Amino acid sequence: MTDVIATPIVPTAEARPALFPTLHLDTFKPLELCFGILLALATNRWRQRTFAPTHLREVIRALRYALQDDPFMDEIAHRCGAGVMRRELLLRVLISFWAHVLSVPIQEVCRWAETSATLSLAHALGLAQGYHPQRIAELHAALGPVLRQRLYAHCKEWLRRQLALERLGEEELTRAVAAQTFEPLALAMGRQYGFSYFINFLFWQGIFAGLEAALSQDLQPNGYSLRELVAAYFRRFDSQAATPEALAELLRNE
Amino acid sequence: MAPVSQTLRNFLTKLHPDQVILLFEAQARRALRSSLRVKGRRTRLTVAVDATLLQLFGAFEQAEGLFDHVTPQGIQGYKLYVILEVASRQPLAFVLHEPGATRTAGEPKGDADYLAHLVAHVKTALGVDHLAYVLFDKGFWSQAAFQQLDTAAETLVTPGKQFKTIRAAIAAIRPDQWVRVAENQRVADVTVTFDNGLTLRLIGWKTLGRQVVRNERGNPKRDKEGTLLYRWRPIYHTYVTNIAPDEMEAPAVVGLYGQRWSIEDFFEQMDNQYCLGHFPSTDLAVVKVHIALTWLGYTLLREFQQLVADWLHNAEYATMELRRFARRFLRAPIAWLRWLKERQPGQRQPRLRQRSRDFVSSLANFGAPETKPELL
Repeated sequence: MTDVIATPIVPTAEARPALFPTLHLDTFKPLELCFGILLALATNRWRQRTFAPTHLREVIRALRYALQDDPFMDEIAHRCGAGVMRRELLLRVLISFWAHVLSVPIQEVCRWAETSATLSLAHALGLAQGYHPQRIAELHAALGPVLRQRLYAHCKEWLRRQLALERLGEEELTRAVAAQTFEPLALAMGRQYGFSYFINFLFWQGIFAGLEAALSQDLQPNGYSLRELVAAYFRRFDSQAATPEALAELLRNE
Repeated sequence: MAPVSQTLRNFLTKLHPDQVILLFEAQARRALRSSLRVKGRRTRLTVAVDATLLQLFGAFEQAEGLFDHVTPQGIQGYKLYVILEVASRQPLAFVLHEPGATRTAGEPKGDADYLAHLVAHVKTALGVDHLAYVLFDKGFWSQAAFQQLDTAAETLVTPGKQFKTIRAAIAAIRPDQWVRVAENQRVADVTVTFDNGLTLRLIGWKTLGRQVVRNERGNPKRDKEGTLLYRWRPIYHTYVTNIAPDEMEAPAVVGLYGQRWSIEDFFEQMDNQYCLGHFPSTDLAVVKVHIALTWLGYTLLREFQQLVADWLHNAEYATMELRRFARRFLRAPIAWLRWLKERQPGQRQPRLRQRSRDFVSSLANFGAPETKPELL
């Protein structure tokens, strides 16, 4: 007897993209869009199109320019009332949207202009100094959940169209992962520690290729990757993680 | 979830031992590349050769009965011969003793055979005509091996054994040949001729020491209260070498031989800290892969240490003990390393930050074109 997995019917006329199953829906997953943008940025290193940003700040800036003359903003302004200037409203919308997409607290986005690391993102956002999170909460209260979701979907659609996210597939993913795996961002994203630098160093020394060439049999396709195996084996050079006794236990599978 | 022992064992089984050993030797060659050439000239290396016993419990392939001279008892295990560059503490090659291995003449292979083999192998692997100084201990004593090394124009230093030839040469030293170098320390620089006609330089070092008094049966004598009886008498340390007297004076030769101790430290470190003797399988191929991989990791960690010292502009990290270095740098969070690199004098340590902030700051740097791979 085989298990039958019921797949939900997606009410859309477009072909469902393999990489991002919910990206074309209004109820999209924010991290899916975040990953799609990152993948597009990484892919743009090879494929140069008309709008081919390679930095996140370019994307943020382009969305700001696009929303400035967007009729959708009229509806937002109408809902928020006449007390908010158009420019101020745009900033609040952008802060709200990017906090949602990057899954970062709004308070933190409001402080982007205060640290040098995120200053470029703040400039792209139009944020000259620190911003009070209470203003964003007021925006959310004015919009309500339905219009807020429509706003996010509207911005998402613009990004999806401009970055051609639906064109990204397995091939782009493979190339991007191969190029980006050992970059600091990938390491930081995985919240990895100093040992990863060592493994990173090994990779650049060609040890992985050397060990792969020394394999008399291929590794199992659904098993651990060579990187994981080498990292686990060299773990004992990390003195705190693996004492000799711990390694002995590891080897004895206790 | 990290791979467990069975997965790692399967992985090691799939590796070809000779290929992994070649990989290790290539990496060792790479690590030595900077020290092989100085100002365009080819320099020479000081190497130490020694053997260590790896005691085993279980039916390991090709394990044999061996006698451990340190804890005088018979053990079951492997005998591992290693050649090590003493200045950088870099292992260059190794070979496991094969039980029942014989020479072409049919005699059993001795330690000296492995000595000549390792020296020749390293010369070929490194592509050098000569190693500088070959240091080895008394276990490798063989007149034939001395002859072989001398013919190959290698410079050797080894302690003299209490053989009849050496005893006679020491006894023949005239009192005026002993030169006083310190209080109760005398050095003599003479030559000794072996049975095969080879003449080498013999350095005798005489010092005043205490020796246990023994009776006719060889048992130590004690006084009425039961304490051991000692007497003062001259104690001789001898060194045999083919270094010419005008190239190096006798005390310098003794100092040079003292560098051999780094190989003992290396064995201690490998055995106690990096689990050289904890083999994941009884298979001989896996044993070889384990040794080669362990030393490959050691070599790479040393290189990584150099890189970190260069990156952080701190020479102390390059000379730091490896275990201390690993404790500091293989567990360091990225933010801390970055702070270490970019801090100003007097700046206080950063407080613990939210993880999402690191994520966003790395997002800001994402996509910057890299001219070369950034390692740290």
